[in-house]
Amino acid sequence: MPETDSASSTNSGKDLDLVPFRMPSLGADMDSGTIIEWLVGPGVEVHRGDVVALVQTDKSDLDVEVFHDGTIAEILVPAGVKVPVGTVLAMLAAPGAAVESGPTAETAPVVETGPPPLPPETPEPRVLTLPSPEPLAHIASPVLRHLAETLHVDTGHLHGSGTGGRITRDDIEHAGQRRRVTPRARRLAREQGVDLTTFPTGGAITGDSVLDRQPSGPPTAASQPAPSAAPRGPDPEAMRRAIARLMTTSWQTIPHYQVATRIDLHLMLDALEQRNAGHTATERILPAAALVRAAARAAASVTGVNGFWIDDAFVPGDGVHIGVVVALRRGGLLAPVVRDADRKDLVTIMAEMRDLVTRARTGRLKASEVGGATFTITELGEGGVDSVAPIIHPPQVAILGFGAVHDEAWAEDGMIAVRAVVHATLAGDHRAIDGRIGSAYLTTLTKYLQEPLES
Amino acid sequence: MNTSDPHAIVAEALAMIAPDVDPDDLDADLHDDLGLDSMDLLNLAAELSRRSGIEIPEREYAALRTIRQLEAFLAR
Repeated sequence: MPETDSASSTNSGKDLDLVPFRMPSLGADMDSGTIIEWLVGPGVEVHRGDVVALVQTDKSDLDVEVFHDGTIAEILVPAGVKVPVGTVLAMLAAPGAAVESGPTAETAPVVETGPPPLPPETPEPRVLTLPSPEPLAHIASPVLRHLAETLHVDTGHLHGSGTGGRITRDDIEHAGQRRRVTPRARRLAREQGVDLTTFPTGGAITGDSVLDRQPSGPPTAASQPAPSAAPRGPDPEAMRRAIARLMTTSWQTIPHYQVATRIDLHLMLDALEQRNAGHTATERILPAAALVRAAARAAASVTGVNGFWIDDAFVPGDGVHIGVVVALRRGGLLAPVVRDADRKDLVTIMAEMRDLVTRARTGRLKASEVGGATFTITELGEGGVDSVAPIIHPPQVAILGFGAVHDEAWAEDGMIAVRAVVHATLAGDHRAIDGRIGSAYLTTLTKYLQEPLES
Repeated sequence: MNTSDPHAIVAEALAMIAPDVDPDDLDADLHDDLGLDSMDLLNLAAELSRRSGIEIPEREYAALRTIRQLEAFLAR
């Protein structure tokens, strides 16, 4: 978790105005992460919310934000090192006396969910404090060398603007500025020996633009991606193993029960169609957003489904933060989080879901967006199945699954009509909640899905 | 950075939304064959509009199921 605790800031000695920046929560199933890249170095001023590092977990690469204003005093964990959640990654010199106050009221509740982070028992690798004095291709710092690799900047061709012609971070960033490389382009470039550094900066390098190039001879050292400069997104096998661990834990420790119901969606779908007709394709609101909103409101109003089972007790969530399962086409899944989804309107939820789904699939989520879910929803409707009996993401106590929306025969008032219907299944942790609560949840969900849409 | 070449526009938009999809797979159904879901398709419409400056009407977009059809729409 990214919150500071001022007690441990004193561990590092006399420096009372230093705030530790810790490896944040990386999602329910992740207890460690590897720093792939630092985007800042000592002396750099940072502000709350700035992305300061790129961290790799078995499931995804995440942008990690800093939760305090300050100046980076020291990087304690260099790129390439894997450390447990909670490990101090860097020390921040915070402005003024605010440092001693610990977490502010604003930051404190943000990710206060899930089990407490593992204590950083492993000795912090302080020996690797930057900068390293060893020049290689006249770049002193391993961080800068790594940055150059990641941005595919051929430093052999760079003119350093630093003292004595040293290459600075600015030089590298400038050379690699805004160059986006798609994973397909990276793969093709590697296969075909195309040097990505020879592409102009400023636009996206796509697979097509790589194919348009003649191979530029045997790959040079600079074009040979280092292991750490691999395309964003983890090794699919590592993701598989991560999912396997989480689901095995869930299935072996959580006594699941399932309750299911059919829900008539014709009112909701009619209202959405009407609303969308007056908007462009871009502004469309999908049924998925309305389902998430109703599910979140129901989770807020039925006590017991929104939260965690920790140490033989139910711990309610600090808000209704909905993990939305996103299946990745290459296999595997992620569950980015719509925070406080019960209090957001439909347009906001739709916008957030679009953004999260895109970034989940292109590998640009932030750590704060995958941690802290208090309840999870999986929608398998796109695949066409009628229903799904989902498996809980521990330590959460419930998960809701939606199947496809199909026209079905629907009996009402002694008549049979054809209605658009969805099958909703709630899986509950029977240690924490009984079937009565699960049933009350689905009843409440059904009620919310019959209400007129708010605009 | 934009060109007016419909294929380039579609390829760049796809690279933003579904980088794993091959933009030369012209006649595959984006949803059924290439696995884009409704959220991806919506994001793709937004990205195409942003890059081409052409607003895609809701009604027409539902009929655009392949990369070739998207390119034909942008070329109109």
